[in-house]
Amino acid sequence: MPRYSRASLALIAGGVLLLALFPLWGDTFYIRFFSRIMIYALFAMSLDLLVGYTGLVSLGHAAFFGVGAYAVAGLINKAGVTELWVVLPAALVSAAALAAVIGWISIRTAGVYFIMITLALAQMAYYFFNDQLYWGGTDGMNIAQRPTLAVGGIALVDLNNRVQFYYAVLGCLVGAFALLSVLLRSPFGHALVGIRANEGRMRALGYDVQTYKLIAFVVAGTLAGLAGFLEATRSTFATPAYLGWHESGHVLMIVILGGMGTLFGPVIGAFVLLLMEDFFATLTDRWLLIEGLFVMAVALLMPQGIAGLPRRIAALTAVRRGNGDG
Amino acid sequence: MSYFLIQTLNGVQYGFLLFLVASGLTLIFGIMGVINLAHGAFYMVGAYLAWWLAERTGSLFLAVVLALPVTVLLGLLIERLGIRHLYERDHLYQVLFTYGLILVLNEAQRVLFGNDVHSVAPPQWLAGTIRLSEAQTYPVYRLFISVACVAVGAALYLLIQRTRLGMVIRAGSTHREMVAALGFDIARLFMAVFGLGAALAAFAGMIAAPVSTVYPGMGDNILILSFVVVVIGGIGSIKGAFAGAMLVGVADTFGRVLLPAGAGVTVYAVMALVLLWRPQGLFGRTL
Amino acid sequence: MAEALLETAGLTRLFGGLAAVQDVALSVQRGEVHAIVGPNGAGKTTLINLLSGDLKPSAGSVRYRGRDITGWPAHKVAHLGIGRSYQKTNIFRDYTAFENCWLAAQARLPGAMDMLRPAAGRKPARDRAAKALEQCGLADRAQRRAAELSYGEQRQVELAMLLAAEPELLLLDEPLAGMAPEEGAGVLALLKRLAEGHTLVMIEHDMDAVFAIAQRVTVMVNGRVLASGAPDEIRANPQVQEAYLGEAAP
Repeated sequence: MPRYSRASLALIAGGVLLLALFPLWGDTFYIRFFSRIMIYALFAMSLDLLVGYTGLVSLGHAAFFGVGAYAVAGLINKAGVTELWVVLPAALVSAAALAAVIGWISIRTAGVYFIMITLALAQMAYYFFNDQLYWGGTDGMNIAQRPTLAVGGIALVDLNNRVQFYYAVLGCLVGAFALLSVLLRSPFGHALVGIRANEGRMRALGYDVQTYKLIAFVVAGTLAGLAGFLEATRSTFATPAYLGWHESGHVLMIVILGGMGTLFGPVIGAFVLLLMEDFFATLTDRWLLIEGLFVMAVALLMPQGIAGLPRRIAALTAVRRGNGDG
Repeated sequence: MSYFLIQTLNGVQYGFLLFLVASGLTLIFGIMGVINLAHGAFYMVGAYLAWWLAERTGSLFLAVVLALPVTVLLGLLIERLGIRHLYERDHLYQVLFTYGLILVLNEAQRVLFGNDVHSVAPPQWLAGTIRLSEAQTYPVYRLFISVACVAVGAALYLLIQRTRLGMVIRAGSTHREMVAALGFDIARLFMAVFGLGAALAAFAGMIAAPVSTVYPGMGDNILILSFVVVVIGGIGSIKGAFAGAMLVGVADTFGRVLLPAGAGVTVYAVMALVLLWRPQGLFGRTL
Repeated sequence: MAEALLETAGLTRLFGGLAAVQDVALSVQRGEVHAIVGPNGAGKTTLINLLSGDLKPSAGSVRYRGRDITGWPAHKVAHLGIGRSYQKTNIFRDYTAFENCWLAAQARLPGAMDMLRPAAGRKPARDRAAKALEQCGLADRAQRRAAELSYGEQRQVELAMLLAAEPELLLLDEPLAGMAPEEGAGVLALLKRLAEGHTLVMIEHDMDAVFAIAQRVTVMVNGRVLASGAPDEIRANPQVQEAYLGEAAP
């Protein structure tokens, strides 16, 4: 059950502080880049709820990310609605609704079937946006403008401003972290972890496991939709690729690299992976090859991810000490 | 009417191809308990090797004969170096590892063979058309694909049902420890099954090449569809793979023709319906 | 004659062609200790699985307090006040003994779906968990990870989880399995105490234990009920003796 040690809490607080102070001395490129990283961190955190805590390996999580993005595109481009207080809830509701449907069908299955079905259903959503010219087809849609938040003609936030957008994203990330922390410390959260540990026993104890899983799935999907909303706002672009399985695989990679079953692991994973990608992309066009090799190595050698390293090192040194000195 | 016939033939032919690929996937999963996202990559590797060798030797037939062992070797290498270490691990890590493998193989293909789409000529003796009716002809090669797939499918069936190896495979799928305890070399068995699965996918890619052309990322699409087939048919069941493949092949072909706007979606809708009725697939073991 | 608390009629479970449980009629009175015995493979665990909802019957019916609960899933059955323990220890190995019991207790208390308030603050669940551990003699091991406990202690956690849910009917699958004599005696004493105020259905191989606390015994062979009655009747039954090939006391 999630308990943060004082050391971890201090590190998290320190991290947030660093991120908050970053725009004061960082250059524009990195402010924009870090905004993107934090969006992916949020996306990955939402998946961690499923993978790391509930034990649901979803290979179609990108569907909710993409739907959030297309909700923005749809409202702004097609309906001419740009007010944030309409666009944001619409993105969240769309993602939640899709998650409810996909979840309801998928959660009837388990194990490998679940993995395959979430993949396939997400592909269905991908094809929906890819095949319809109304949504821009394979090339996607350029979003006419960013959402606005204004009261009585006075803009409260200007999302076109890189720094303001950065703080908006940071706020969402911290907010999601807080929300998920509260959720995981509640009886509901404890039940999720129990389900991952021993689903059959939970059922026998009286927990309606299907319902718990479905709720977790919808919460995770909604947060992914939030990430999609932010990404569409950031890039002013919506593309079917946002729903594709490469996107789903990518975010899964971030969760595992960072360390699943810890909410901050995905944040670490996002920073490490995206910075790595950026670095390797400057070296070669074939950086995906390097990423692929890296992914394979992590799967084989680092199942606990980066967040799990301290524990592994501690375990290794304990063994050494236990074996005695020469 | 004849248009309908053509589409049905196309759908069935596509279904047969899917069956080969999906049966490899379902064998690997059913017997080894490993989910292999890179299965589609074997299809692609087969197709690319067939194209490249056919260009150089002038004969698709020769290319297939040469390319098949190469792909099997690749499969065995991957099993030995990577998959082997993931048997006891959670599916999550198998998914991750094979996802990375897809990235590597896709990029390797681009490095080696470039981004272009290539066409492959069918062998001369199969390149003609036959008459279906006064107005309709149908490419002989497409019929050949169906025949070849049926032949391979039959051989697979005989292998699984009638040989000692097949018996061990069937036993290993439900009673791994017992089979090992009886003295069978599980490691060798798994290698063989993985190689067999890779060979099936690669062979499908090779014979499909003249019809589908050879293009980057061609493995991705067939992978997802073979997943759908396996889910519909039931994991570990060759029978199920056949039933699922036929259903998907026909549904996809007719879906594209009848609802071009909803083309890609038809297959998934069918899958969802099957699952609502039977979550374990048509021939799968009850969950 | 009071209505039976738990009743089955024609209960059958098929696996492919094999009938693991065939046409079983069981009647358990409120407050009694009802033992189910039989050679290995007799279908005893399958029967318990059918009663707890872990398995669905192929045919037949199950009634609890007169209510038809045939085919009800395990989580619904649990909320009726039916709890079970497993023959093969089925606890949460990475949790402490206390956390195991807490999960069990919280399942049956309101607030199991509470998503906002911290679980640690929920006193009723904590109290029940503590009480259950106390009853099983595990109070001093409460904060130890279940994986670190001895086999016997893990069996006790298994039992404590059952108690933490405060069930009315306890389905026990070989509660004494694999235990050393002293531990077994302790558990038996606990079961005797529990028998007052609860109804127990118990699978056991330890015949001394069975005859020590059971009021009724049902003998199963090859998925069917061979005989059912008071312990002395069963002991004297020639068919039963034959079935056991001398295992039962003559």
